Amino acid sequence: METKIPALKKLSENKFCLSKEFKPGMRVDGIIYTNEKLLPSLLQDKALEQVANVAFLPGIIKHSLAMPDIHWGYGFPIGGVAATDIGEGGVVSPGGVGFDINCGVRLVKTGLFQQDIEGKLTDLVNLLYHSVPAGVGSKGSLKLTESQEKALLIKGAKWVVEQGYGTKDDLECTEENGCMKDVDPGLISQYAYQRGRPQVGTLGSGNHFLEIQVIDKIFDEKIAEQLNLFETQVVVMIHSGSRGFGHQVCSDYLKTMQDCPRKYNIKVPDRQLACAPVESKEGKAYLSAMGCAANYAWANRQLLMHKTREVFEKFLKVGQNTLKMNLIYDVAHNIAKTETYLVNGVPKKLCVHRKGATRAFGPGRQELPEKYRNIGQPVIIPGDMGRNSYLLVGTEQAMQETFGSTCHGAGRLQSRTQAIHTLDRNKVLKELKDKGIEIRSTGKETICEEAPQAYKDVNDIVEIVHNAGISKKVCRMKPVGVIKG
Amino acid sequence: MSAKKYEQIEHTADIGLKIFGKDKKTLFINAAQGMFSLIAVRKSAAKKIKTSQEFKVEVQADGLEGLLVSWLSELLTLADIYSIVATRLYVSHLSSKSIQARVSAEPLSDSAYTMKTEIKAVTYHLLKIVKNKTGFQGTVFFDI
Repeated sequence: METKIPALKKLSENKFCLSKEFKPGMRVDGIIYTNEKLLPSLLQDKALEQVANVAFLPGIIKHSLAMPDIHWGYGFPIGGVAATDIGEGGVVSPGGVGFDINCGVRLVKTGLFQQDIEGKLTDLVNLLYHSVPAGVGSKGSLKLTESQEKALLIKGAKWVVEQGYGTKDDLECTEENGCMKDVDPGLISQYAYQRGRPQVGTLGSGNHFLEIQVIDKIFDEKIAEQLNLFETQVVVMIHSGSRGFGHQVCSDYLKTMQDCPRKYNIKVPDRQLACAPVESKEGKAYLSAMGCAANYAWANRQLLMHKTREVFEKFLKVGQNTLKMNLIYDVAHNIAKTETYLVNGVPKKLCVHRKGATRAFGPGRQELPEKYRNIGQPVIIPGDMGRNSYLLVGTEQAMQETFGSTCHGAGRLQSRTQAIHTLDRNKVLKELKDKGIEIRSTGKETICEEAPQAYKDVNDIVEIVHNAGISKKVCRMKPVGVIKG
Repeated sequence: MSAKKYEQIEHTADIGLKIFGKDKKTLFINAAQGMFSLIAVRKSAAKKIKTSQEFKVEVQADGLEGLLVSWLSELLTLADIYSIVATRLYVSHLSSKSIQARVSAEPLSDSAYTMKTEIKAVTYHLLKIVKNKTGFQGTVFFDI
């Protein structure tokens, strides 16, 4: 297929190449996982330009990658993946992680099936809405002292579990076991501490959510069975990040890094791509601070899950032995990590940026819990609040092509303002109600901003990553109860 | 009719503001008011809050555009920590590298405000300040 952009060439049904000729200064080509159906929406804004800008980063290896849910971000596109060679002066860019450090998603299974919650859903959603802090200015129930906050930053979800809010098994089923190691809370500003203290255990607003979902289709019976997942089973999905703590860390370090391109003689075409060599003082400091924020986010999602378990127990008047609300997995989708890959046959330590992209390690990797090592890493892909979400697993092909990465969601199609101006809140609510979806939201405009019409169809996105082989479909869920900020 | 202070700009994932000011100080004040208008809107029937908090704000940056990001970031941080909305802003000093201001604020309460959006951060994305015939015009995007 010939696009109107000569530098953009189709490589296969689900893969396009943006060659270096697109913009002088690109060190590598861009590779975009998309198809002809989704390509026009990609060309509507400046996401492609951002794929090219990422290719300017010193030390970038192989390609500037974009997942099919790519859309216009700032610095990196949302859905962008880039790995830099640490030993060869490769850089780390806070813009390659984003403000919501370790924004991510977790999937919790339950021992319940759809018929178990029929007729009870409205009350259950109401109780969740009133129990889980969400929206602008919300505060969590856990009041941290500064020393407790420091411990949380060092230990992440483990600290929360040590306080009695979860199990060892939860940690095993969390990326990095819910804790980035060797972080220094001394590198965190007072502002970040102040913002973080009251917000742990809060959902946030915007696209963050807590959803009760029902599995409506199984694609891989064998893997689903190993995960104890079956059709009509009830699961809970939680999408949140590092709250004001992470936003402050990113803002602080983005400001610090504004000087770095000049200091290290780095040319990047966007201030939001300010970066420093991973091994530099600034690079190391950012990664350590980012690790603290990542740990905050894992602690946050662990607390949100604990609260959800409590609500289910209280509402259904049964314990966890019956409810069996076990964590399937928790994945980060805004993060930079040191990972080792074979580059031209030589093992290299790379700094892998995933901005709106999910780790999708294939079978056999030591980083995965033993129980998942034969199937690959569970990958959780949330869709919009009216369509589906998915559980996938990572593949060996992702290890070869995308530094073990895949998509992270549906990706926006309409701007928030466009959605607010063109959609009728009551109509959106009615459409959701007609589909059997109960929704509660604190924000006046959230319903329109987050309406299904404002997003690409997640089914299209998942089809691409599945067909391209960078992850594999296990099962599909449909939402039945949605809590939004 | 008073001059337009700011207007929203479309962006696929986030929100931008185009800001206007007859001078730089007004531009910075209007940018702050624009940002708070995205977070929450005062209910017209809400009673006037008698007790307001006062903050002294001082920030530095390398250049006027970077200073706009730092200024808004500082206000956003204060708003998040103290759960407040700025009601009056007075800029006492503004150069291309630093700003000093006094900010009056009131609590961001459900009774007085309709909550809109939580802004995560102020970005450097497409950041711009230009001088034109009527004064200054700025562009800034927020991560939400």
